[in-house]
Amino acid sequence: MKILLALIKKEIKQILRDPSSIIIAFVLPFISIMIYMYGINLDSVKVTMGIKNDDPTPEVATLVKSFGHSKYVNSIYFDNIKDIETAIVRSKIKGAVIIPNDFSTKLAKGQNADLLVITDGSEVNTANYVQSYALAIANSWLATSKYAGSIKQPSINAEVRTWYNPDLNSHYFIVPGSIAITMTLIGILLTSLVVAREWERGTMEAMLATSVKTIHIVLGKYIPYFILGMLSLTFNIFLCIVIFQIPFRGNYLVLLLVSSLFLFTSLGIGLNVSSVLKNQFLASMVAMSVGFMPALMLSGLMFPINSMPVFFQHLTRILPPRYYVSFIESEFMAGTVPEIVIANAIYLTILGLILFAAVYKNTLMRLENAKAQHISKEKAVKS
Amino acid sequence: MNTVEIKNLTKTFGKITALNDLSLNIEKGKITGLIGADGAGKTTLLRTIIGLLIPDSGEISTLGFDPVTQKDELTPLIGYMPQKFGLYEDLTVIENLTLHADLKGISLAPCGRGIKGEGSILNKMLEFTKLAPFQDRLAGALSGGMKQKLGLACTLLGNPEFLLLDEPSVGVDPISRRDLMQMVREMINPETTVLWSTAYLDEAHSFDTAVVIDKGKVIYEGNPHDLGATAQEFENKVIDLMGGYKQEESLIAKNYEYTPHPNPLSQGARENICTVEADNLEKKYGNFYAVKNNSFCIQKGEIFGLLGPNGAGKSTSFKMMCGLAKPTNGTARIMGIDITQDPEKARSNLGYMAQKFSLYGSLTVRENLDFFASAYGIKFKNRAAKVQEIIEVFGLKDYAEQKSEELPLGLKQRLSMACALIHNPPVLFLDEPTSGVDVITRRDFWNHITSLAKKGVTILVTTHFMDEAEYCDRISLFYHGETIALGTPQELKLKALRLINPSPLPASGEGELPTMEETFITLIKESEGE
Repeated sequence: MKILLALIKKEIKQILRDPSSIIIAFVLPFISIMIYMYGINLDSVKVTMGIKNDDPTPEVATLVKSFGHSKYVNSIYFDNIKDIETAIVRSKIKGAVIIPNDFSTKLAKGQNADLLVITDGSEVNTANYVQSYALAIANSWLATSKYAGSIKQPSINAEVRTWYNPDLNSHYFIVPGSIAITMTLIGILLTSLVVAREWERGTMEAMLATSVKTIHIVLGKYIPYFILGMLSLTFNIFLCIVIFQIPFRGNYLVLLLVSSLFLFTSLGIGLNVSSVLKNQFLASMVAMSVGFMPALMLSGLMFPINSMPVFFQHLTRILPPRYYVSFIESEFMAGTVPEIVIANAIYLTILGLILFAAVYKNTLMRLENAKAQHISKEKAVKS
Repeated sequence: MNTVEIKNLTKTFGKITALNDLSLNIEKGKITGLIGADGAGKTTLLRTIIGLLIPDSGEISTLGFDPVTQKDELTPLIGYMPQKFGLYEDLTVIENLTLHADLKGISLAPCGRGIKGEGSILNKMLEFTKLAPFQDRLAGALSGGMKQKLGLACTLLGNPEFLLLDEPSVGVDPISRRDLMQMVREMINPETTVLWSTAYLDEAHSFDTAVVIDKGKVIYEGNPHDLGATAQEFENKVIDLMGGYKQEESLIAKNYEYTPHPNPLSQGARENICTVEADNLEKKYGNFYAVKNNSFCIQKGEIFGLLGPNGAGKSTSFKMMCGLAKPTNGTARIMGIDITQDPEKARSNLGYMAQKFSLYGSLTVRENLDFFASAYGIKFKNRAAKVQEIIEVFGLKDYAEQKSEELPLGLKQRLSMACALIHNPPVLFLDEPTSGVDVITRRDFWNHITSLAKKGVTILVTTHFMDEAEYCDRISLFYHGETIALGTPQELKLKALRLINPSPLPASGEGELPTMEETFITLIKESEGE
């Protein structure tokens, strides 16, 4: 116990004297939340589109006008298809609507009328907006125009109510979700360096020649970085809720408990990488690619897991961020949902324990892997 | 009773055999020196003895325990100081000591008195290492000698029965080396066994028993005085045991053509006086003088040695001399060309062999030579022929297509010298050229160097091997950034002799001159006394 306390004390002193660990724990989260807050926006945006009207009737003119009135669209009127093409190429407009000359005639006959919507496929997201805005505007115009009576109304009228996030503000789920990424980064990046550093500087060798046991080394690394990680987490949550005013509907205690489980898994990944590689540069590179990239791409934060290829859907099951992102989004936006909390907490605990066991196993008490040696020895004896 | 008994120990790492069927007994209560060049197997042997590595075959018993299966019982009884001392650089002196005490489960404050209380182990250690004034300094900010003492103090905590020190004296000055040995002798009790590894053969005489290993085998085991009465004799005998060295005419020197690069400045009288000249060189970092008032003048064909411990300012001087660092004051001239005014032209006159040989590990021998040939401005059409010639002259033919990182240290050294000489420079700078290589390779190397000097090459060399100073025509002793003595080895020894014994008996002849190491220590003490 005394040995463990001595190691923890030593590690904490090292953390406090090393500005880089403080930067990773407190400055990095701040920068990353700023980026998620102001740099990333998955919401609808105002698009500029061109309009060309080949059907100069007063009725259709009101349709053109309603494009001008929409709060989602800036419309520019064109006479010439060539000009539209040039404008799209120059990115002056993101798409265009062309009303054919038989538009009102067909409507008046009670037939289906055509409307040409041109979108820019090189920017898929924007193209989707152009398409849906154009249709929405055209449909709402139709409903109020004199042709309204002659068109068959759909018998079901959907009234949409978005729960938990009525404004559909993507920051409300992206910013809390980004905590998952930041916590992965802290847990993995900080710890990936520490064991490797001891190997590089020869202090591990000195330590192995004392009465230190595996459990002392392992806990001597877990505990100080767990404390640092929890402080960083509290800072993150403070930023989200108090500074950036992200609504929080859950329970702080539950949030901290499940977050601490997630931190436990991150520390496990980092310490495994560090113990196995024993080289700071290599360890930090590997930590970034096994920790950061999956947290960003495969956690379900940016890209829904359901829309991933089947292989990746299964892969996400062994990645802790998936469970944490699912938990933290619901905790912030929907409040504490016992089913979600318990399921995710169980998965995180299992992953954390597996990783802890692996760290324990990978922490060598010699300068080489004893088992591998014995196997080769046995082979030598047999041959 | 033996502390360690080893029978037929073999340990391999992949293709490399580190220990080859080695048998050895280490006597209890003695200080045993484990002597060998880099890569001889010293570190592997120490690590295997305490169970940090597992042998492929053979038997070891350390303090009666099997280090493979009984490591946990063994470790509380030993003190092991790895290379680099195993200190936490971001902890202070006191914190390092308390950490090691806690790890070993010993209390620094017996009878409930504070850890800094009177007579506490901590105070004793601080007093003993003379580190008390620096107790709150970070270990990383200590000098090499102080780090080494702190490392030793941490290792000595808990009075281990068996003390293993891995190259504790590498790179520190002779005074610190002597202090260290004294510390070990005073701190241990008669029952304690010490195993001390070193690459310096001249250190052998300070041990009770010397074990010399080479290529993973013990080539000598016994009282060092039985093998040779002086360090020099000991070295000669070790060379014999390693298969002997025959001095032959240096092919490298034979093929060298002295061609001073034509330049108007060197046409004058100056070239006859100084080929390399330092003129009040000074380098200041903040308030700290790394080098102060360094002046010397080296003549054509002279071997000039810069001697001093790590951190004395040798490398800084060296870097300023080749224009790699800008002097704060003063200047240097190579073949009469001012290094601060026309560094490129000055550099074209010199071959530079950097510390650790600075080769491209993933390139082959031929590719390395080809690269340096082009870097030194040898024209493309002559290059292949020149590289081929150099390969043959330097005896690198069998290794030409091998990657340079796979070469043994001695061959790396030779390749590095080949790269430095490829453009036939009239001046050659060698920075720690022999550090880590075995004694025969060192002899061979100096044979080439002295032969080149005879051909007219001016050579500036740094070394921390005191005995190598004998090969130099003149030496500048460097300490704390300043030249404390300058002269031929003979002159310096006489100077030291007069300091040791102010009124020498008329009968005292040359045989009584101090060794270079004693000279160095005397002169340093003299300069500090002022």
